[in-house]
Amino acid sequence: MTTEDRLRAAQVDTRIDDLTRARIWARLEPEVRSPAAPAPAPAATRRPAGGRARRAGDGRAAAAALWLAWPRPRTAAVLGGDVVSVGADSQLTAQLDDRTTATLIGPAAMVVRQDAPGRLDVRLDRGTFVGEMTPGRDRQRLIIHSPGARTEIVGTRFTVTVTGPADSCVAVQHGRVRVTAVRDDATVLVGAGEAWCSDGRIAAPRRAPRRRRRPRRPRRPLIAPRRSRRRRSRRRRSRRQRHLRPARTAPSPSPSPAPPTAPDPALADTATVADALARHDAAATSAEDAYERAEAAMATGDAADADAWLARLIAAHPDHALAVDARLERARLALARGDDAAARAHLAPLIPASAAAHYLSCRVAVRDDDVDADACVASFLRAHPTSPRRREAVEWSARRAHQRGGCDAARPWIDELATIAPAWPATRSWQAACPTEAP
Amino acid sequence: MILLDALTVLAAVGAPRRRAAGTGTHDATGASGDGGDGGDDALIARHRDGDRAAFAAIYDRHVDAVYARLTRLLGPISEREDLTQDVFLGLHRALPTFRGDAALGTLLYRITVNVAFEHLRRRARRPTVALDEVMLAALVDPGPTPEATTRRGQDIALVLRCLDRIKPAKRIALVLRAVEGLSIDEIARVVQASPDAAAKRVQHGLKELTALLAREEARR
Repeated sequence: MTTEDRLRAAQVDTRIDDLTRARIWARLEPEVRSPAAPAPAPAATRRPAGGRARRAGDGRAAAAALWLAWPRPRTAAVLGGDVVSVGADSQLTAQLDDRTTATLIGPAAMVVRQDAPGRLDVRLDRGTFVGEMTPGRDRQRLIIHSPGARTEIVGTRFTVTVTGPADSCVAVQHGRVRVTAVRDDATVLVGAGEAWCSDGRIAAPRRAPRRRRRPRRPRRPLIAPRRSRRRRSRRRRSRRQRHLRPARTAPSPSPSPAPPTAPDPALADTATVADALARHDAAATSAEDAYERAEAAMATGDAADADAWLARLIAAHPDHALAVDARLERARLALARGDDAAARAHLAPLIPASAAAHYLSCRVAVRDDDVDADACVASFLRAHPTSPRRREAVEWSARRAHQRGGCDAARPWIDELATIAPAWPATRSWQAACPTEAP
Repeated sequence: MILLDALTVLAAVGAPRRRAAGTGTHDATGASGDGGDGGDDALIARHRDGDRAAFAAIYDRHVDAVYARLTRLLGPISEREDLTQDVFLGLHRALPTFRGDAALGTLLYRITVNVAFEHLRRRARRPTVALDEVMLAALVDPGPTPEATTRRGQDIALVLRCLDRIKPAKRIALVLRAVEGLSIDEIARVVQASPDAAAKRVQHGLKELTALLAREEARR
């Protein structure tokens, strides 16, 4: 093998996936939205080899290097109390402070103010505000004033949507937020996977418990009475022994503890929150709109929000043509986050009609080494003889047959691979591993 | 294998997205053909007229090629996303002064090569991070046995490590010749050097890579 061949063989991972493509565009879009300023030096004329440019001393190479090294803002700054509005079918991502990122999904409008250090106030007039705040030690507070609700965030990922002139809904993906209903000043805690609406469509999950303060320890006198050294060492010894003592096996004298409060399974998944919202908002959101919002969320890399919008689409428009696509996308999202059970649940109703769903469900079965994996692959190959995914399915069969009975068992599948995908690297690998014996 | 599956699944996680207009014809340097609906010339004209969707269409049309080219020039490094963004920012800045003498694909090709070159030059000043062979093994096509896959990952890691030790200008010329299949004249045009200089860079790059590979393999 020559060096050039080895170099060619070392080309891996050259294909960009949809998620990366969307992520790059989400970062690029705010910067290319404005008309382009002329470049400091036309990019096409910058030379990789700097020798002649340096000799010429025209500074072009230096200008190009400066341009490349110049820090470019990746998000728009919106602080300062002005109204920030976003039109329909568009969105804006802004870094509100070091720890807070906000995405406004249009049509939407908000005002952001920082009147006091450590506190950020957002007034959301319309639209959806998706926030992400990483917890920190500086006790930064973010308060969102929306119609009917005041939401205080300490460190979490959440969505606030204005649903009417006097109402809002809050859904939390991670962490917890404290929401105060403007109507009756009642406060609720909304935790991960929960939602709350000010108009009562989705009830408060639980009332915020009052903060229990730990009883203060009596303050030590400034001049402590002197203890003898022996007494102090005895105290230390007994403390150590207490730690080393084996755990008691006798039943606790206290009454049997209350069963742990199991999270409501209906609220365990953020998508279920969207399901619940969707049932109420069936008429409010069209299937196309929900799908576009899922697209927008995916463009920002927010899989949870995209999933929620797709769930909303399915719940509100189960018979719409886009519902099939939405189910498939939800299955893919579930697979991406490792939730095979959810993926299977989404795929099951699609299998009879969709080759992609059938393929994905077999893929999960093969990956998990299910008992019905072989049956799934065989049925896929029977049902979709011309599918572009056929070679992968045949390769799975070869692999599984090889595990069971070596090359002899895998031979029919390897032969089929050689027929349908002779140039595929996996085919060549199999042919090398199980060479055909000369007659 | 699990990682490969995860990557493949991620690749399958498609952002539900709309595709831009069809692809044009491409020459060796990736220059797209124009004309017709949604051709590069039409898109550039629409972009100049202030149509915001035009640049999105240009991005959709060329991002695959740019990303693949950056991977071929630099290896499967994590900075490819940022560099792809830099390429399209460079294109956005270059378009107002783009006279249309060359195809848009050629312009993009040059910007991509320049961005890759600048990245290699910057990286040469910093200590490089060793390539993760396990990660590479997960990226390669699965072989019949895990050992075969791992061995292939190690081979690729070795080639990429040796490639990292070659000077940027030579490395780029070598990859353009050996992997992208460009002729010496085309390489000279892309890197804006004379054909003689381009040929020498390819020749020296190949010689150095062969020597480095031989040395590393003798050390194994």
